[in-house]
Amino acid sequence: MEYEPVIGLEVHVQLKTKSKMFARAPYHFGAAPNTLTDPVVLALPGTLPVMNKEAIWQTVQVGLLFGCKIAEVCKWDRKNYFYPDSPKGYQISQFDQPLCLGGTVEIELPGPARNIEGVHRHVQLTRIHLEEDVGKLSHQGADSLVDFNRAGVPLIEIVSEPDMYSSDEAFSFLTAIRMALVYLGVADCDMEKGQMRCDANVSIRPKGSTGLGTKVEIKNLNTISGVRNGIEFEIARQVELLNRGETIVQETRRWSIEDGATFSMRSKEKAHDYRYFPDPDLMPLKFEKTEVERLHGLLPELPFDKQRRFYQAYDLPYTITSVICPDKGFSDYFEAAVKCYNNPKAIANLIANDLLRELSLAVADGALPLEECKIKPEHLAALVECIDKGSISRQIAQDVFIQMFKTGQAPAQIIQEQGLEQNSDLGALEAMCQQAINENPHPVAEYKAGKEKAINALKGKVMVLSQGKANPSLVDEMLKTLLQKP
Amino acid sequence: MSQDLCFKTAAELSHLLKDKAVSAVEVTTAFIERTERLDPQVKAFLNTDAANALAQAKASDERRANGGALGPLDGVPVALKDNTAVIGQSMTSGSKILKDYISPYDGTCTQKLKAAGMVLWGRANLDEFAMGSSTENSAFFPTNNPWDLKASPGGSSGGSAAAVAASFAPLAIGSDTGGSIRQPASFCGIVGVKPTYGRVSRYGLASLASSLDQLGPLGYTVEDAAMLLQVMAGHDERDSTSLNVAVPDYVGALQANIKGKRIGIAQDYLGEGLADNVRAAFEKAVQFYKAAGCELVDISLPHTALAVPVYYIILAAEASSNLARYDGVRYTHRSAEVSDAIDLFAKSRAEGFGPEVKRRIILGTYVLNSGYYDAYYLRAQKVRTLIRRDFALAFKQVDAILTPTAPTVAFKQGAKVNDPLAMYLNDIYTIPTNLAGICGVSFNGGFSADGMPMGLQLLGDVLAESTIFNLTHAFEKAHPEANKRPTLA
Amino acid sequence: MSVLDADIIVRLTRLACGQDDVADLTKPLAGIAVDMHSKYDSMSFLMSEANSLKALPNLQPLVSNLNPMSTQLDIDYIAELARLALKADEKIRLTGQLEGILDYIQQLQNVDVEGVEPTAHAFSIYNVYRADEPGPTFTPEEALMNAPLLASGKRAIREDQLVVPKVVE
Repeated sequence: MEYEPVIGLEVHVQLKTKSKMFARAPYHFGAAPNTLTDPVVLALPGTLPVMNKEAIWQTVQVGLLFGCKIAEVCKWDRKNYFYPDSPKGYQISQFDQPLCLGGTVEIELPGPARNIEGVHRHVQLTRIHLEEDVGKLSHQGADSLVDFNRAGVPLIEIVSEPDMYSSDEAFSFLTAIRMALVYLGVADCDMEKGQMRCDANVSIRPKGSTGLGTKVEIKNLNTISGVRNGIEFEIARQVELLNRGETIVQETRRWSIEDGATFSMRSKEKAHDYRYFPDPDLMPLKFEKTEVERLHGLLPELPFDKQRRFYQAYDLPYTITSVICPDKGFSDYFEAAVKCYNNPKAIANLIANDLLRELSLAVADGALPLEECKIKPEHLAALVECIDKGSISRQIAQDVFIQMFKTGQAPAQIIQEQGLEQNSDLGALEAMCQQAINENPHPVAEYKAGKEKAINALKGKVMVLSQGKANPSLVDEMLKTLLQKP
Repeated sequence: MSQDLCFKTAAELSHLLKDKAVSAVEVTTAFIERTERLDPQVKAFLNTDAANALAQAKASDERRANGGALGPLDGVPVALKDNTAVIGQSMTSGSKILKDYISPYDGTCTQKLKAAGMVLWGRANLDEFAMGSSTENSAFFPTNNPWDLKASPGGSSGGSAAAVAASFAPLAIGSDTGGSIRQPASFCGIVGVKPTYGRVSRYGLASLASSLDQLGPLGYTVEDAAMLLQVMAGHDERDSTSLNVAVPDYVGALQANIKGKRIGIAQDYLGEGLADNVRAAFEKAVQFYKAAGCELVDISLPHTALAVPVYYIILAAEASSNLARYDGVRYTHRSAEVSDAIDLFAKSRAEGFGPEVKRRIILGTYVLNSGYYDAYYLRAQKVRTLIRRDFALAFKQVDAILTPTAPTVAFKQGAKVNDPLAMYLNDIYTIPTNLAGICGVSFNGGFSADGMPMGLQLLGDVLAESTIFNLTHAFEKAHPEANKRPTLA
Repeated sequence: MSVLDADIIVRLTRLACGQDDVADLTKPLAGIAVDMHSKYDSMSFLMSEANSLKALPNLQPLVSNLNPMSTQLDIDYIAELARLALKADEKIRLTGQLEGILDYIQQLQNVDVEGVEPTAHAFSIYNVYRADEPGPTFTPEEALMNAPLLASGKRAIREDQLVVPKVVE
């Protein structure tokens, strides 16, 4: 029998606020252990949580971005469980009144080839809620070490419906979420830094049927490759079980990168009852319609919407939009440049090819961030304009571009200072060279007689005529050409 | 001279200090000496640090000499219940699990006391995590009632009340979740205030039941309590449940005429279980207010009998979660015999917590269990609404409600410790206040035939502290014998 | 018979047979409103609890056709949830005391709370926020100054982190 997988994802994303969710301590990745704590983070006796307004509004924005319904009123609940990385013995979360309900995430499936656009579809969301992160455990022999730096960082949980049908879709879903949240500027979503984490619910069913099979929860899909590989493994495992006539047990399994397999998490603790109840230390939230509408007005255009607009407005190909649109920086840069000079295709090409290449060449590891790029959008536009007007050749333009990248100078300045302008400049130069030849028959004769150094005297005359602005090598070339004429 | 200083009220000490008739060092020394001499009998304090207190007093004297006194209570000592956070001091909360814990931060109330120049003196004993009504649940030792060393000072702020009653400190801070300031004040013959919920920041108070806890002042007179609340009260952005409302002039309101004030009498508080002598003291107070021109109004608080079951469900549920942080990982006692992380939690907690704490954690865990949430916690919250409504209706008719504070005078130690339910019922007159979030003050209504104080309680509407201070101050002025102090030798 | 057991009986009876059939059994436990159990309708959960009823002889016929698993809902289960390693005598004493308290709080089941909103806070205040501004942090020394003392006399600290027995996932 042929089976079809059904996948739901739970994605946790750290918001990059300046302070933690309910405590004022800051957080950044990679700090020395236990340097980002305060009395509230450590849950010292007597400490109390206070909501970070920014984290709440960011979550509302995320909800609006995905078309969720924003709760009019919602509260905070305590999820009670003991774990060494959970300082309070409970996690402040949202149980039955999440901030955001429903919504969809648009995803693009991989196309048949890299340069061909894939199919788009919308994955249904169940809810998005806000909670706080826990500390970090690392293991040393018979011990575990606890670092509470990460404890209390605002964490949104995006829960999808079981509405994905391949590991590719799951991967695309994650990519789409990351793209959107980075666009919004609320998260960095770097899985390697734990800023985005993913659990998956995987079940399989006979192809064509509509029911749902027994679901298995996969935890620890915390790398880009883990999401795809872990789900793939689990689908194959379940298919194999059914093909052998066995049944699938509803359980939680853990993905192990090292083993490339999932393992049952038969936890020693049998008692799992989170005893949710409203947190009496925190007041509920109420959202005014006008405030939510104001936030709605501040939302950025989603990457896929931008892509569609770029097709329409600028007639750009997929190979270009698929590079520029997923990154808000590049697409804003592009549109700023197009505003200065209207040749979108050439500008987009320069960004998608030359600029991207230089940025990645600029640093040994990764790429230079666009914010640190010295070329201003108006200068890039001006360079395209120069090419279009034929004032420099495409060949020269390459050199100018690299110099712009290094110095941040305007193209006009580089072209002028180095006399790179073709046509008019060459005409003037030719006139000056001819004048020098006409007025100095002696060195001309010497040169023609085989004394090559005699040309230097002519060069000097040209430099005087050009008031020093002529490009010496061009003068040399031009004089030689003219002197060879019969 | 030094003995005399210990018998002064905070207001009197404030004047003496202001007039430079005495120094803060002299005042503090007097209390230190008296404490060192007599606390072995009373056992009000878990920890004291005389050198530290004297250093604070010296700093106060220097401020005053330079013309920079911080306020009326600058240089006046205050004792703190040992469940409040003071940098560098213990915060045992009466529990072995926090035996060695030293607070690395100051709570908001602590900061306010320091900002007012007060001398933080002595960490007062309490029932473990404020769970109890006798101070017998302290993991360290019970405190004795200065009026009868064989009697309980009440609880859970028994150490705070006994310290003030025994004149070891003119003022003390307590916490009140279901009567833990008012009942010991009543047993010890002093004044204790449970402010409106949200009036005093809870930041720095080890939480028992977050929706009920409130810090409050204890002192010999209403004026003293009002002066201390003036320092403690106010909005705090570190406590989400703190009320953002300006603090009125409590002391200034004390002298207002009480004529025409409407005082409610609820038969619901005067039924079975109320001792005859306490009832007689209550009747005397009713007559006083009548004679003073107040209007006595019969009111009904029909859900009063349900307050105790509601309270024990809500308290146990919230406490079971609030005490989860004492887990053996970061700063508490850790069992020496742990083989894995689950052991670490279960054994450290089992060794660190006393029987009453375990009892309430088990009860709280049980009522929050997913199968029972609706039946217990949610239902208790709904009945809590009915209790709040009772008071809201009552305060449409009256300015304050007069009740006894406790059904009896201080009971003997050991009398109830093995019967938790009987102990819980002792709080029946004080618990509804916390459920409704309103304010209440316990003041001494007189003495029993065998010389034990009998506290009476005036309840006020939300943020009506000035009203109840005004009314109790009037009673106090007319009954100077109520401010009598016990004899200790 | 304890109240804890009574709860289980009422729930089981709703599963295994009609309410009326076991009226006699539950009569001594009157006062336990049925609606308190409405939240729990998970078959597997009830099955898992049947084991704890084995000790009650008059319930044998009721539970005989259920297939009990090893979990028990009783003081053991609650103590485990609460992470309290109780000694046997503590369990017996606590169970007895809790039964009294639970009996007492049962009176709430008779109160009409139809349409009454629950009170989670003394006052209805919304949106108590803090601006997103970073505050001061502890040094690792401050953060760990109260780290638990081990039998060795040292604190449970290594590499500026707290040490716990290895957590198995």
